[in-house]
This record gives sequence, C-alpha cells and structure tokens, in this order.
Amino acid sequence: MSDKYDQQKDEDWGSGQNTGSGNDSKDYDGPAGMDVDGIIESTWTEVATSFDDMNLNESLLRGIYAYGFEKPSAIQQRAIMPCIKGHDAIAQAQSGTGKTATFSVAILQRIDTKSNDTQALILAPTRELAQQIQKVVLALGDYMNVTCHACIGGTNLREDMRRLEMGVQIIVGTPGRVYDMINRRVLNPKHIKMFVLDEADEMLSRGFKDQIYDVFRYLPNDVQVVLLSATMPSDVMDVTTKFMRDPITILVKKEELTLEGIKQFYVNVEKEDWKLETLCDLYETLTITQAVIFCNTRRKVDWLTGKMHQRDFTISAMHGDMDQKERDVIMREFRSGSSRVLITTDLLARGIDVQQVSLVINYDLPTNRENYIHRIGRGGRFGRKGVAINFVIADDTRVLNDIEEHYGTSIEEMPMNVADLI
Amino acid sequence: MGEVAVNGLMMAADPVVLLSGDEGDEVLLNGSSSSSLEAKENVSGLVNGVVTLNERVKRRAKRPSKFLTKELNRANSDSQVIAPLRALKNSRKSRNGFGRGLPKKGGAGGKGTWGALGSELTEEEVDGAIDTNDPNYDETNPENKDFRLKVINVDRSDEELQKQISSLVAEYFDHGDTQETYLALEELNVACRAHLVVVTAVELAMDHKPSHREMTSVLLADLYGHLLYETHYAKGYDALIKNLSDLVLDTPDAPTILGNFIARSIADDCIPPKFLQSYKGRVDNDHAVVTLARSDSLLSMRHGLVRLDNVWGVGGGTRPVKYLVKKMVLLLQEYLSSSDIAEATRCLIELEVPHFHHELVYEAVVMVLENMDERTGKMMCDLLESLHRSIIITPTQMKAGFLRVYEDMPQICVDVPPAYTILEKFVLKCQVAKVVGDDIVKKMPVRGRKRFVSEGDGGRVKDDAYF
Repeated sequence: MSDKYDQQKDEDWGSGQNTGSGNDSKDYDGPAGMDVDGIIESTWTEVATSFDDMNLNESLLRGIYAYGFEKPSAIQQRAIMPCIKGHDAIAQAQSGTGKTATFSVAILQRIDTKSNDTQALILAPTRELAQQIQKVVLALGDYMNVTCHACIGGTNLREDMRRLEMGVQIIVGTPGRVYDMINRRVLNPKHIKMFVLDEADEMLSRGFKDQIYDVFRYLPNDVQVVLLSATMPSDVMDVTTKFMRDPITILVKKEELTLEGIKQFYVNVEKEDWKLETLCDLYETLTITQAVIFCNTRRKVDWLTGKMHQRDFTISAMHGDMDQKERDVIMREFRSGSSRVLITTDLLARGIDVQQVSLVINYDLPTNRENYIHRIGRGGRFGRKGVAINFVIADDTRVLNDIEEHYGTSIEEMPMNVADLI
Repeated sequence: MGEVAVNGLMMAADPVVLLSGDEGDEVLLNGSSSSSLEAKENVSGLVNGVVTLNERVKRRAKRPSKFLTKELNRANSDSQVIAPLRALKNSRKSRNGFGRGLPKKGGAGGKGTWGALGSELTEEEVDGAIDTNDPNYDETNPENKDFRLKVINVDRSDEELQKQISSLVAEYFDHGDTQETYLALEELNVACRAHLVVVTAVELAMDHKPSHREMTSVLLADLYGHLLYETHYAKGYDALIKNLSDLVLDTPDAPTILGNFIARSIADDCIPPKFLQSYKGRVDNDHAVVTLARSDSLLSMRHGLVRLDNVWGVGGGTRPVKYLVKKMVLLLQEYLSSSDIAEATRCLIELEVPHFHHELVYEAVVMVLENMDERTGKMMCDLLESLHRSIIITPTQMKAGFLRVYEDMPQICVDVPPAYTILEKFVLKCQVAKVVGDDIVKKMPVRGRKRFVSEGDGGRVKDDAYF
C-alpha cells in the first residue's frame, strides 16, 4: 500500500475481511452460478466458501492466513479453483475485491518450487501496480520459498537483468517492459505455464495492445491465460477471443463500495479555525467505537495530531511520509483496538478497513469527489451501520452540494443525538 | 560507665604509661566495663587512636571520635573532665565504630529498607550519574550530556530524492493544493537538483489518469518562480526526452504525453518557445521527434495557447458537478447524431467519475422522454445496453439512474404529457436488453388514474368508480 496507483483501479491489498460484498455471506453462499440479483454470473458452478476447501498446499494456506485473509471474496470463491485446475479464465470484478489475490493464490499453488525456471508471467498496466502485485505474491508465498521479481527498468535495469538471469519463478511487469526483457534474452519464456493479464481494460486503454500480442507470441502454445478486468469493453473481449481457449467467465458486477446504510451528516463550523474545537467536542463520541479522521494533507495531519495531543486526547496518525514499517505498527495498533482514533489522508484511505470503524470524520472535504466514497464507503462494507460527519466551512457549501449530487445521496445536518446512531 | 571513661581519660593523659603498661590493666578495664560494651570499645578505640593513629583509623566511627578528640584537647587544657563525658553520655549515637546496623532514626533508611517515602524522587539527582557501562546505557539519548548533534548534509542519491518527491506528488493528486506541495518540496531541500521535480512529476503523471496529468501541469506552472526556474524546466524536460526510449516501455503514449507537457509549460510561460527550436535537427531518436512535433503542432495551432488549457481533457472528480452534467448531456447529444457507441463510451470514461455514471443514465432516459421519438429510445437503449454489458456502468449506477427518473416523473410529466407511456415503453425495452432488472420494472411509476367526482366536492376521490 506504499503508494496509490489510483483510486478506482487500486486493488485493496490488505483487506483480509474484505469479502467483496456488502451484504455478508448470504450473497454468495447460496446456489452457485447465478446470484439472485443477477449480479454474479459465472460459467463455473463450483463455489469454495473457505480457503480450506481449496486443497491448497499447507505452506500456501499458512501464507494466506498469515496475510490476514479469513474468507475468500466472491470472486476468489469462484475463480481460484478453475485457475488452479489450469482452465483459461476471465474474472471481472470491481476494484478492491481481491482479484490480485485470486490469481496470486492460483499461481502459487501451481508453481513448482523445485524448479528455478520462470513459470508464471503477470502483466500489469503500471510499474507501481507491478510492484504491488509482487508484494502480494511474496507475502502469500512467504512460507513457500518462491522467487518473484517486478521488472521496473529505469535505473534498476541492471538489477532486473541480473535477477532474471539468476532465474525467477514469477515475473511481474508492464507489457512493454516484459517484452523488452524477452528481447534482451534475459527472460526465457519457454517454461511459462501461466500468463496473467491484470487490469486488462486499463492496460489496453494505455495503449499496450501490441505489446501484449508481442509477448503472447513468445509464450508456449499450451500456456494458461487468466484475464482480470474491472470492465469488459470490446477491446478486452477481443483479447479474450484471440488468446483464450474456452475460457471460464466469472462476472461479479456488484460495486464494492456503497453509501447505503451510512448516515451522512455535516456540521457547519463556519471557520477553519473552529474545526478543532468542534472535533474536541466530538471526541467523546468518537471513542464510542473507532473513528477515522481524514485531512487533505500530511501537514494538516501532523498539525491536528499535535493539537489533539496538546489537549491530552489520545490519537494516532498515519500518512504517506511515514515508512512502511511505521505504518504497519500504527495499523496494527488500530486494528487491535489499542488506539481508537486515527488521523490520515486519502493516500492511505484504501489501507484502512477495520470492522469497528463506524465513524468517519471528514475534517476536510475531499478535493476529488471520487475520493469521498473511498473515505466513508468502508464503514458500510461489512453491512454495519456507519456514520460519516463532514466539517463544512462557509466556502464548502457548494462542494457539499456537489458531493450530494455526485452520489445521488443526501447529507443532513448533524443531530444532537449523533452518539446514539453510532 | 563514667568510671571507665575517667580511666580512659587518665590513661590517655599519659599515653606512654599505657603503652608500656601491663596488660592486666586492660583486662581489668574490660572486665569492669561490663555495664556497657559499647562504651568500652569506644574508649579503647579512642586510646588506640591517639596512640597509633594510622592503625585503626578506618574502623573508627567518625563523629564521636572527632568530637571526643576535640573535647579531649579542651578538657586537657581546661582540666574540665566532666564536659566530654556528659556529651558522650547524652549522645544517642552508637559509640562503637559501626553502629548497630539498625535502620536510621529517620524511620525509613538503613540497610534492607526501601527508603523514605518519596525518596526515589530525589534519588536521581543524588546518584543519577550516567554509567556508560550500564547495559541499558543509551548513547543516543539526548539527555546524556556527552551526546552531541552535528549538522551534516545528507547527500541523498537522485533515486532517493525522486522517491520522496513522487510521494509528495502522489499526495498532491489527492489534495490538489499547490501551495502545500510547494512548502513540502521546499522542505526537501532539493537545491540544485530542482529539475528532478519536473522529471519525477511528469514520470508519475504518465502512470496516472489525464486528470492527474492536468494537476501535474498546474503544479509545474505554479512552482515557477518559487522552486523552479527556466533552467530547471529545460534540464528536466531534456532528461525526459533523453529517457523516452525507456519511458515508452511502460507508457506507450509517453512521447505524446511529454509533448503535451512541454507545450503546456511553454503556454504557461515556464520555458521560452526557443526550447523547442534548440532541438531542431539535433535529435535522432524517433520518440523524441514525436514529442517535439507534438509540442510544436500544439503551439502553432490557431488559438493554440488557449486550447492547451484543455490539453488533458476535461474530466475528473474535481470539476464541478454542473460542468460534468453538461459534458454528459453533450456526449449524449453527440451520440444521437453520430450513433458512435465507442466514441460515447470513450468520452464517458474520460470523465473519470464512475460514481457519477447514474447521471448519464438519468440524462439518457430524460432525453428519451423529451424527444418522444422511437429512434432516440432505440439508440439510448443500445448505448445503455453496451455500457451495461461492458460493465462500465455498474448495475448499481444503472438502477440509481432509473430511480432518479422515476422520482422526477411528476415534474417531467408537466412538460411532456405522454412521459409515462414513453417511460413504460423504454423501460420494457431496457428490460428485454437486460439493462435493468425486474425490480426496476416493478417500481416503475404509473400515472395516477384518479377519477374525481364532479365539481364542488373539493377533489374527493370517487370511491365507487368503476374502471
């Protein structure tokens, strides 16, 4: 979660409990194949509702649970098994539903750890995403002794080539980068048995079509192709018809984030300077469960944290300036409940999904309205009630109206008894 | 006790005698002083102390002896024999060299006790000496006096600096506050490597969406004159042009994107147009040629400089809702005349507001109602069907759009009397195309067929009406 790739496409890497559906298990524990709403369409009828039922290697299973996954998400329940069995597969699901983990688990299960040959190739639209995928693969395969390398080129070109020549079992990279490595003859595609196209729609919209075709030409004929995408426009369908043989299709059209069930309020604080007082007044309410406070900048996060500490409020803070280790510690504290209020920025909004968070405060309204749902949407992810409170100053009225319109929702003035709603 | 003391004194008065004196005397003394062992010890110590000072000096209890010696001298001179005795007698201090090993009279001190209440507070000052050999000694603790901070200039590698810059720029993509980013960048102390800001920001923007590229352009323009100057832009863009062959691997459109950035920077007066001319005929790289040609053509267009403000498109969640609505209506109208589904789809995706797609559905349905013709209905159904099939509009957004129309029906009906019938037709068409589920069809409002009794009854609904 070091950096965000972008809000819409970013996979929710750390989401253990993220089951890909707002309405708990009943959605996909039912009859397989077709969901009641017609939201899930699948040509594969088996559904594995637990990782234990997937006949995975013990060391892989250990990695999965150690990573924090408890229950497979809707897409994972349906797509992991056919992928492991070697079928070509098309998996469509909204971002943040565990697509990355889906193919990662399948690859790790299929990999022959005794061989040093490159056995799986993952294409991703950006270097940033490639690095995130590598992290997930390595984390899930922590107990398996697998090698995974993300080709990012640039100043790391020499390092890339050295690693590849040593032999790496799983390779991640952008299509252009991977094709370059094949051309330089440092990547031997002969033994690749799995070929994964992650965020295929994004890759094609970035103009990688030719490069994908080029890479594919070097792969063995019997390679298994897995394609993942949030949307299925015609160019993605073209790829599937060209490369894939009798693919299994799994569509989970449901949106991951919803504002349903979340009570949204605003407080008119009029002046920026009065926000702090308002927050302090609300502090008692915050700590009823757990709360996240969003500021727009890291400077504001630092400032607010300092101010709150001065007043002897217990609060933890996290922003992009901190290194991963520090962030992990803070997240662990927050998850375990030993800290109850967390101040952070949008950059890390996706990393936070804690069941107990039923209150989100927008100390600053988000500049980009699309971020609004990423901030507060999580509260309702578990089908729990959630409350969001927006601090609004005089200039923000229009912004607030725009948010209401953007999401087709209504944000009411905060009532006095807000504590009862949490 | 007094007797012994006298003896002692007498003996002391004539030390030589004692030295040479028989042992029997001492024995006798010991024996006679059975009343107080302490007193005797004291005295004998005293005697020995006077006689052989350095022999037992360590074992002597200091205070009484000092006191006594003084008294002794005085007693000698004044021949006042009683005074020291009285002092000694009244002293409550132990009279042997060691004390009795009992706790101090303060009530809390002494061996084997925890010390007085609260004494731990002052203890540190007394024996808080820093022991560098203590295994817990922390040499980085600034409270230790021997720890000194020295200012050193960390020579970060370019790579490290770029990492820091890109984290700042990524954050900027969220908050969009250039001033804030400027302050943070200034803290980084980039100094002579300011051109790296240009390089990093543009490279990062290539990985991101058009709206982020727009923000990057704004940032680069706003930093002009504060952090960045012409030379930095020139150096940064030069580095990027030279690196194009690598950039193109990860971003196939890199040459065009870079061309846009350069042209925009020229339009924003960050670098002079002669920057482009300086490259004329001096590039051999194909990608660089594309970049320069792109910049050149953008700048040479009529009204090009104004157009460049929109070089990155018009989308993004930072744009006002009204503006996005206008764009959606426009793209629908364009679609109605061109019937190009792919183009409409592209325009919709370009707006980068997936959570606002319900607006497109709403506008499309309203357009169908207002146009009141078969063709519009058919085309919109096709468009929605395509967007639904490719899951660019999710079922949730689709549903939200239709429900919004249902809500507004009474209003729409005012301007379009047959709205209800058209809506019913359209919704059923969409149902066949599987754009909407049965629940949406069921929720479809029908015009209330209220029948009123004739005039003068205050609008009472006729309850026995037959249909």
